[in-house]
Amino acid sequence: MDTLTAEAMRIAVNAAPVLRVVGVTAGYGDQPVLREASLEVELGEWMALLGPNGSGKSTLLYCIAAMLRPAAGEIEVCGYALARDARIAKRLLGYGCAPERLPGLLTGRQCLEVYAAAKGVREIDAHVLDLMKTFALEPLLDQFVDTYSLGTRQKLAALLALIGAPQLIVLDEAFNGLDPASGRALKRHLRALIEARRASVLLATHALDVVERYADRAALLLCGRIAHIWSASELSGIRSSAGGLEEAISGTSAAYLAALGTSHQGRG
Amino acid sequence: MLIVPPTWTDQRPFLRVCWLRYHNTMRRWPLLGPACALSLVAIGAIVGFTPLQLGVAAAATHPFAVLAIAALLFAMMIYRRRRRLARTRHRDWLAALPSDSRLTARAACSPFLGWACAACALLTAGVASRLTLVSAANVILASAAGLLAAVAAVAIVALLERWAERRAKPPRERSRFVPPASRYAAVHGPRARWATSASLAPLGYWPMAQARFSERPKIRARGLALYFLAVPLDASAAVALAGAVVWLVTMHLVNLLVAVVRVAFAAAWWLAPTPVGTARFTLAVSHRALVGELAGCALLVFIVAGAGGSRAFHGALRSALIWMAAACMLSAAACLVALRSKSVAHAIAHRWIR
Repeated sequence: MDTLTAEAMRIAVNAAPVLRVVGVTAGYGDQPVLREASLEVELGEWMALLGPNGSGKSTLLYCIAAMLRPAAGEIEVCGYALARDARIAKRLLGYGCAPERLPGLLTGRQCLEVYAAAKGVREIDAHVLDLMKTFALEPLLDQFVDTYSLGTRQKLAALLALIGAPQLIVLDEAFNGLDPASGRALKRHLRALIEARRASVLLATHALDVVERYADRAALLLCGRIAHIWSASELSGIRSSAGGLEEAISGTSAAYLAALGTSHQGRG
Repeated sequence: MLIVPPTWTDQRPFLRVCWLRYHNTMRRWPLLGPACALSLVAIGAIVGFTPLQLGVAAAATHPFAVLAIAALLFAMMIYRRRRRLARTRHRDWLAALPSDSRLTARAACSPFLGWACAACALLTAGVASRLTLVSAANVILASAAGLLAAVAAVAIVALLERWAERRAKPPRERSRFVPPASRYAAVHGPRARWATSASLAPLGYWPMAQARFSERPKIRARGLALYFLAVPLDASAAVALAGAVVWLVTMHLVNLLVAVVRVAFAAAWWLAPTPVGTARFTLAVSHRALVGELAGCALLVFIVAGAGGSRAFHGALRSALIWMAAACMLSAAACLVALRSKSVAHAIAHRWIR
């Protein structure tokens, strides 16, 4: 783990992107969902992934979390390719799975212990245990996960993503079903990690208020392609505008889909 | 390709869904149809060339008995399905549609398909056991008449039920609570150093819990009922009870093995974003289940040795060793395939485990 930390530090100093997705194409069966998606996330950055249902957000996250093998393209975590250096890349990655994917026949405590051991971490980080107390999850830890409510599962999934001090935290709709206090605690915790330049966050979400308030950059995924990436300055401009992010997404989507339709017609 | 369902399903959404589901399955797995047909013919041929052919021949000479047995079996099947459909109708995704097929017709769909498959196998068996085509067809016709009689009987019962319901007080709402799978599993006390010395070992509890869910009391009772039906009438009580224990332990061994395979795929999916190694993963998933298998095998050998002496002991020991070797290999292979092949793990996780 020491060599790993040193390696991670080297990358941080060199300011290499924490996540680099290059031309990733992926799908289920012969149905492509993602088409040549490219994306970069820098250290100490909160990147939001936006897009309508079925646009490929979760598929992109599955590829980054090595749960789905892309048909083409490359994914690097802190400079380590997921295809070649999977072990190191996965150590630097924290993935908060969908709540229904958690093992129902293990208890919350067993989930935390097994996940930490699987990541090669002997001792669960103190800040994860603190956050667990903030979430008031302790009394439920020895109950089976399939008896948990949606919010409790979300809390557990978020804690699992934070185990092992990952450089890149990947979350899929992590604030769905969380009570306001726990949601705020998680957002503040993630923001604190980012500000200390100890991690980056990639969050797929439909909650535009979270994006407006916490994200540094936002990418819009349409029909499996990255349609637009709003920079930090663009996002701050959108925040102060009257229509906000909702208006910006609607305008960008309409323009992009019109251009896509024209190019398809041209090809036809 | 645009799929155009037949027009007779226009006012029958349930039948249209069945038709589309069948069509999509056949499009996704084009070899499934020929494979099923081939399996049915093979089953028929096996029945036709073994002592079971005597049963087919006997059935051909007693078509009324076939009709009665088929009607009883189908009626039980259709009635149970109809009751279940009536209970869950309000949760059906087609519940909001203005028109739908009758519950009895819906309940009869699956038995009809089953009957069609069995008829194909029976015809092959009849031909293989050198019955004339006419006698084999007689059995099928008698069985079809049984199916029709069952549908009519269930429809009459359903009408009578509805009539009785209208006259009686409104029935009490049945509890919609479905207990979670963990209801049958035991919580193990946490390790003192779980946070400071994390271990993969608790992963071993998952297949145990899965196996306990698979052999919950309801399922176990059904298995035992089947077993006692198969016990010869002249068997002594001691032999019947020993057989019941052997049956229960054997079911437990099979359930444990199936649980390991299922959990291997589910756990591989869950732990895919971590750098866990294949050997550690395999050991963690299967160690408790394999210890359970070993204990079960030892118990079986002990019972068989007690009942049948040293010759039976050697046979049982050899079988137990073969079973243990097969269990170890299958567990390891399942863990390896689940962890290595993302596409296979993904497909199975979606279609089988969830």
